[in-house]
Amino acid sequence: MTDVLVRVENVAKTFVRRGIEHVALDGVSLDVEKGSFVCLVGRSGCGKSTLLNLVAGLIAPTRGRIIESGRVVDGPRLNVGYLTQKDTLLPWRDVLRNIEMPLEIRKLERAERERKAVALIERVGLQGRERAYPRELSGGMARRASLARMLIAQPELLLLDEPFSALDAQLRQEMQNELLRLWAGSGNTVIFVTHDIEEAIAMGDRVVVLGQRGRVVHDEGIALPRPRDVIAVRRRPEFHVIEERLWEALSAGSPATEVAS
Amino acid sequence: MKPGYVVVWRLVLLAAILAAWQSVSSSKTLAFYVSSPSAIWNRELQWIADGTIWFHTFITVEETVAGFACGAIAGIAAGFILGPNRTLGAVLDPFIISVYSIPKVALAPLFIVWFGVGLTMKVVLATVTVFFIVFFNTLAGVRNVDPDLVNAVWLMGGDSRTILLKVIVPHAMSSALTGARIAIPYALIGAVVGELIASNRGIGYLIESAASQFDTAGVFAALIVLTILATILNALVDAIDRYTSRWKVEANLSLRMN
Repeated sequence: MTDVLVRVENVAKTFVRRGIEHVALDGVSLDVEKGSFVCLVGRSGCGKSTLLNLVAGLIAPTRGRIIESGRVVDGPRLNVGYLTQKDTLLPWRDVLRNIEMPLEIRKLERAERERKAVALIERVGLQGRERAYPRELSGGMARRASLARMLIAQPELLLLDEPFSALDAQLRQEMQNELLRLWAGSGNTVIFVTHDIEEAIAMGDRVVVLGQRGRVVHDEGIALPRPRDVIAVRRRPEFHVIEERLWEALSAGSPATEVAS
Repeated sequence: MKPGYVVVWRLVLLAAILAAWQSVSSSKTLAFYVSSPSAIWNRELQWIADGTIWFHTFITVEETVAGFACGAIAGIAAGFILGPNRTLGAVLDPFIISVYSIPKVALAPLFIVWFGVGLTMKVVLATVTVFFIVFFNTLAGVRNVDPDLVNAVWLMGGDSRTILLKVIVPHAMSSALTGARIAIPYALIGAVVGELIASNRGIGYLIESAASQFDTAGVFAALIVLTILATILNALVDAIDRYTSRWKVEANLSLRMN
């Protein structure tokens, strides 16, 4: 049996806004194997970001629990990296100092921090931009910097919440390949949230389709060979078969059909 | 238009104004009201020679700098204390706003009673003027920190102290500095207004005493000194602005039309 790194056990999450209860998640269970690249797909409002926030420890579940590396999640952990759709680089720090930030918090020496940051800047292709401030970066460069900042702490579990959805199509594919390249051979576990089915198939070892309130409506392994090129992989005949199946699952789990059933 | 032409046209305009001024002042009656460029120039030279100009300018600069420093430090401190404390802020809000709403000049008589007519009263007037500008900017800075940045640092393993030092303070400091930049000319206003009301030295006093003797040349000469001082302060503001806000998107604060 393979190792389970993250186990979501019958989790529910309710938010109260202005006295009204909103159920974001209800009865969600999911296991994520160590070293796998799992894509969570769902329409907006299905609670996929909430689920990721719960795994990150940013918020606590109303019911149920989440176990990661054998421990119940009760807050942020150092072995978890989180990348959101929005850039959260500190605007008053240049690229180098932003990327060093997680190591600064861990109280590493300056020279050591800088050495690691410079190496990572090279890996993500940001050479020459070390001293640029976030506002001086293009959307793609800012993403690369955010990616580097997440990777510098050498997390085992990467949580990615629609990380490339704000980029144009070409840049998105470039960054998807970049991420696959950085992930390959790292042994890291990735939970990748997206609303884009094609992205999910091209990237993941496994695609989980979430319906209303985060219920798992479909779960399948993606047997496409690695290393993958996100553009080339779309041309494979099996890609479209999977895509068809996932579309069906996605629309079956959508609010319109749930009301009808 | 090429930049060189702009400078040329500026000089042409200046020369035209001075020539017009000089010709108007050939009439004795008008000269009483507007003096003349040559008389003002002679007065400047006289003041430079006898040291009057340095003495009074130094006094005004001293008041401005002291008032600015006190006001900025107090404003930043108050902003950082009240910023995170919403309850205290809510309680004090009407009091702070009402004091802020008073035109600061109206406080001058009270400050004379409290501190006399010496240097202290001008420093206090400048301090009060600067304080509110810096305070409100710092407060806004502390309160408007992007929660996503806070979450990001929290997820990196940062504790509340790290978040305060690495996120809230730098964010608030940048807006506190913006406030301080805006406040520098106001410190000068506070000091000069104080001197105009009651004093026996400083540029404000120089203006006031010349005017009371119907010495328009003296008034203009003192105003020119004040203009130069204000220009230097504005240049300083610009320099600080360029140095501290390279990472910022907003346009700088310099008062330029081009």
